[in-house]
Amino acid sequence: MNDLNSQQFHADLAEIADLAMPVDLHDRVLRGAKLQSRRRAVLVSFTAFVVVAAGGAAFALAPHPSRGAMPGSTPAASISETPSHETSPTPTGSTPSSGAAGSGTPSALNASARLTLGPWTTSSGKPSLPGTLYYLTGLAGGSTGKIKINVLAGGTLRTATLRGSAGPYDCARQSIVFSPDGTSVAWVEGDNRTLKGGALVVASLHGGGQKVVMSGPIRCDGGRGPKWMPDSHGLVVSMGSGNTVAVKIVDVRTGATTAAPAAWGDYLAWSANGAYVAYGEQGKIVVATATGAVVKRLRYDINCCNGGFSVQSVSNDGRYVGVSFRNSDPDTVRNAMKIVDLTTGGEVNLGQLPPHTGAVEIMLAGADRIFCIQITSTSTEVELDPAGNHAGSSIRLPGQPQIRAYLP
Amino acid sequence: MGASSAAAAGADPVELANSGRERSAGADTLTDEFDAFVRARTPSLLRSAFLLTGDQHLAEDLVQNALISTHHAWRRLHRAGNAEAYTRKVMYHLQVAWWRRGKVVESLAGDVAETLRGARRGVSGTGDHATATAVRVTLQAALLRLTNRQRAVLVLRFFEDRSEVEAAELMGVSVGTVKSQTAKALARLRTIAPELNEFYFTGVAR
Repeated sequence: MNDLNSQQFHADLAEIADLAMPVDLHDRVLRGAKLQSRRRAVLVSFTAFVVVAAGGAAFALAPHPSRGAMPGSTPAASISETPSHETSPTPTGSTPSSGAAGSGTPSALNASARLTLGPWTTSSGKPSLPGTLYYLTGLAGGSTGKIKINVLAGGTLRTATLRGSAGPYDCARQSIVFSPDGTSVAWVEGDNRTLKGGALVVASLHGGGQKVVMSGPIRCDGGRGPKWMPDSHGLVVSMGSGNTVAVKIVDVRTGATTAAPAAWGDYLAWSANGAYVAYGEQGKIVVATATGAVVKRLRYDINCCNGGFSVQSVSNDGRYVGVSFRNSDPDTVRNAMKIVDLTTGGEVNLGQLPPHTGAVEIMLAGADRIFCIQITSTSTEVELDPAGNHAGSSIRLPGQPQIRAYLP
Repeated sequence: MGASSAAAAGADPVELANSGRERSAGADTLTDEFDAFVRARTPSLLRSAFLLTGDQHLAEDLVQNALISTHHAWRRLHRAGNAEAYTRKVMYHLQVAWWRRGKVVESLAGDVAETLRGARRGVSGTGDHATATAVRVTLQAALLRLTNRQRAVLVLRFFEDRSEVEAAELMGVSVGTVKSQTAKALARLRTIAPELNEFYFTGVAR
């Protein structure tokens, strides 16, 4: 900072600021203030109404001698639909607090979840990468086997089974996502063929229990499955059935939802540092900052498949985007098969790896890259290609694990 | 309370009427002063907001929302005499909030960087002016690639020329955070727009 030419910097900032056109906001401010005051008044009135109505209902339901209530008779109670916690996505919008756990990790076990995670088993002496690798096993195509969640770090492998019945088309088989802070895992319980969605469940990866965040309808088909927001508190979800789908951000602590930016469709990926979000839009790869400012739109043809591309990951600097094909069936495509350099518009030459065969799975984890190579029926080699000049490393895992996340 | 009901309550209706007029006059004064404040300070607020958002409409929305908050608190702020500081504080808080939805601002950073390189090579044929313009365009694009907080701290420190203490107060963070965010923001700026280094980081003035 000492070598900053602050005078020149100030001068150029001032010239940029000069681009702001002077506008008289007076009337808009007064209108906005009046509108807010009116909303507050309505809210106060509504709250008062609810209190009075609740009091009235309590009074109505209380035994009243003069009404001659029959012993054993029960007043018919109608339960109105709970209003959804829809909040404004702007910073001024408040997220309702329901007294749920303060962290992103749910604390209460909810019995209505069909699948339950745990117990955890631990085994040591395992070859591992420098960071933490999150992967799934038991997901082979058409399988009805138990889904296992694996967390491998520092030579120790922690494994937990999703107990309960999960058929071959169960949403849980394709919707499991790990939170960026490594504390939680989320999945959808439903059938991926019905396009009706199901319940959204979040569980602790540290034995803290699980809960149904939303009973539905949360979609899991294709790229509509849940995606974590960088803060590990929010999940981008697609709600609705059939072709009527709304993309929302649900706070896993409270169940409150906010509307997601209109540009967000199905597949999207946040960079590990939360600085960038990437998604597809009318044949273009779009990278935007966390504030929503689009920094790049690049027309891209994956040149392999009829359905076009799906965005799978984006690097911390927003420069590289991992892409794969896009399924025409309800299965979810995971991991990239190519990396696109947005500064050149070209695909990154991955050296000895065969990028066009689809036999390699790629994950951009921050500035690092993870490759699954030499995938056979009995084992998979997972290779870490770290950023900079750091030496890479690789491990061999049994079977065909589905690598879902890596935290350096 | 009307005069008749005041009389019924035993109060002096003339005195009450006078105090009502005083209240009304006081309210008029408050309203007038708020109007004057909005009209006087909006241009300056908009300039900062434009740097924070990179977009005229977003800047207007940001300033408008901050002024609405100021309007709600005007009676107190008017007495304390710190309305502008409050408004700016609200504005920075709104902007620094991690997610802000709205119209997206498109900035093809790579393309403007190429513009700068082209201008420097004399491709545009318009000399220093082209270079200066390209530098500003590149800087504007680079600013949008910073985090909201990083951008805010740069605007406060180097556009508004606030001290670290003042910037910390306005952002509602510690001085240490301002220092670290400033360092990170400048480092990031150098990384994402290395073509700006020779203009800002080596003491070379145009």
